[in-house]
Amino acid sequence: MRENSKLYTQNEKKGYGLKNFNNKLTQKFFKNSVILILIMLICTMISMFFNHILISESDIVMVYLLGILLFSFLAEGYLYSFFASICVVLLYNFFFTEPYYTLKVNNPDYLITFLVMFIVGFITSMLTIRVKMERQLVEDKEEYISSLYYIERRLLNVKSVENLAKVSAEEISKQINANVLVEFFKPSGSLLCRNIEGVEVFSGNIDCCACLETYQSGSPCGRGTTLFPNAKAYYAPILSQNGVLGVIGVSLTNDLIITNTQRAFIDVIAPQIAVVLERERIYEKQKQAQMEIQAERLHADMLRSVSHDLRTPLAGIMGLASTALDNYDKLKDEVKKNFLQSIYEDADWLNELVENILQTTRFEEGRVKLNIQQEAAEEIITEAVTHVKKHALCHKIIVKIPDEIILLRVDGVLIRQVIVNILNNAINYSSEESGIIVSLYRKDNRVIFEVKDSGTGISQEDLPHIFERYFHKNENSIENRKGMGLGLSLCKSIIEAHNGKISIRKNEPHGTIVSFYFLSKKEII
Amino acid sequence: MEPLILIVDDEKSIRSFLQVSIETQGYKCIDADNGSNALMLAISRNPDILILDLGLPDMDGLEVIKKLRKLSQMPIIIISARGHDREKVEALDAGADDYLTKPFSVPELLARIRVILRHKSIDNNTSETENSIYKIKDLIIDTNKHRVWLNNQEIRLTPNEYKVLVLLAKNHGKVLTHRYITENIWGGMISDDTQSLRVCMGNLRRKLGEDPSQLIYILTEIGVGYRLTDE
Repeated sequence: MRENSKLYTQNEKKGYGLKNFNNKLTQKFFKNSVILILIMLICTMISMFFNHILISESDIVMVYLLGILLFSFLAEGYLYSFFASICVVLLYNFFFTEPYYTLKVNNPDYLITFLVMFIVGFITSMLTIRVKMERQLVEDKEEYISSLYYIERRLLNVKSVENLAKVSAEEISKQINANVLVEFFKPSGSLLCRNIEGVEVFSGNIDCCACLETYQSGSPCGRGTTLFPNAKAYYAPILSQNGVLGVIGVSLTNDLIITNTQRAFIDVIAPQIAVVLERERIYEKQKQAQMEIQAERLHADMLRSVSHDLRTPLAGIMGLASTALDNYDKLKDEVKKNFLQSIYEDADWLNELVENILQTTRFEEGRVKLNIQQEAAEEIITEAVTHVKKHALCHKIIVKIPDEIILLRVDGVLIRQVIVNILNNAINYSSEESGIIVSLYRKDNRVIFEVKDSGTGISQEDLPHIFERYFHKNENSIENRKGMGLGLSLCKSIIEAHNGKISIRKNEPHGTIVSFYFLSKKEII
Repeated sequence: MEPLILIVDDEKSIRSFLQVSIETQGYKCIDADNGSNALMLAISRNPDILILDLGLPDMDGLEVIKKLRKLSQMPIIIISARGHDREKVEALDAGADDYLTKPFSVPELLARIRVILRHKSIDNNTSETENSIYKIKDLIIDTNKHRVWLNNQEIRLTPNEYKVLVLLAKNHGKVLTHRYITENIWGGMISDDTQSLRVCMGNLRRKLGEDPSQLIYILTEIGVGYRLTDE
């Protein structure tokens, strides 16, 4: 088979095509004729020499038989050895039987000698050829098996479906010198991946139909078969016990119809590909299952964290409302009003929390579609600050914005929520009279937002975990009433979805600085 | 005669607290819990204001607005859940007058109602020329002389800044969408590009001496538009 493919390669390189095949035959004929003449010449000369020193005639016959053997070994063809046997008989007759230098025979005994000589010569040469061919066959098979083994090993080492398609296309193409298409399909029937080695000749209408037919019927189609014989390529299915997994398309570069050996090769290699593909699929499934388990665990974590966060304000609301209901007549109006105010505040906090939960789950499920619009950065900040100020009357929030009007392409509502979350944290963890500074500035091509507070700050060991989901600072402290588990991790998700970055560091002498930035070139307005 | 207000929301508790708070202000109140009832009541009773929740069981709130706008110009305040900004803008562009996001505070709703009723009475009672001077807090805009004063000091505005300010002043207390403002000032050609508008607003705010932590005049509604303060 290697032989074949090499042969084709030479043809291809010289660019002869089909005609070349006949040329090759005549070439072989001439070569063999020359060899035959040479060998006969040598044999005749040796025989002459033997004759001269009066060695018996039977040795001369042996010399000629040796010549035939040698020739048939080189020429490889029954017809050639047949021809050589006749030639030898004639030569022997011509040179070494009386009358010399004629084809006449005086002694009729020689006729028997000729016949035996011919039969022996022909049979031995046939046997030689057969031995040689068998050896060749064994060699071919060995090479075939070792190349199959090599391919198998390559296929088994493949790491992904895409790579599998690439490797199998490459190897098939190398083996049978053709343009090769390898297509894999998902169980649902849609295309999983597609790889072409060599020239793309598979996109024609007929070829697409043939390919599809192969996938649907699970039997070969295309060129060289009865179905779609007009297609440019031969299509074989990749079968496993679960059905058709893909299709291999083969279009020989020399435009010939695919041979039986090549077909057999594809039939051998296709199940190997199927096995690897199945393995990949199982691996994928396993990975997905693992991911689902992880997501499940995250979900459980989130539920726990959320219910913890929800319970505190709910307990407040329920307690206040039931106290007010039970003691309605005894309580002073002022106290009732206070109760109602607290209920409102707790509900407001709950509302904020629910909003964060909703956004987080939307982000986790990948359902968030950013509503990117051009926004003025300062407007987002002022909106966030105004929103926060409604329930943080005692804190002093200072906003610093540059003279330049900075425009950003972001989802304004989400960024506003990021700032609101950061500000709420700052408010929850700093004393009432301390100031909070929100600033906006540009540094090179970064637009930086910064929220600085001088509250209690975050301990050094907590800093790296602060953006982790469901992280709670000081799990047992009273301050933890308003946990920030979801808030900051949501901020991180939002900022990263905008290709920005968020970071947190200590403020000197105490407090925290949360800052995030987006990349934005300065626009000349 | 006291103004009549139609409340449309499928949530009973929301309808009831809205009704109570609106009636304490001395307005009359009727309510509906779905779109078709709302349309029927709106046509038969002709209320002064329609308060409409966008999420209705039988039809899209946007559809109600579009149907109603073919028949009447009655003011509509929409109520929408948070996170539905696009819906909100669509509703405003379809002809709604104002919006509130759930959960909203009752004082805020009452303020919106007052703004709309005031605009209504001005439209009915006065002609264009009489109302050529707008006074909002320390800001005075004289549309006859094309001049603007802040704290009795005149401030210089570019033609576009002036036009935007006047547009906001004419509709003060009402939210104007980005698209509405851009179309009115720059024409329809660049209505998708809000850059000029953002820059104009930024400059206008700087000239009005706004404190970024406490806006006084021009309020931002992120993702929706702008509003000139009312009270």
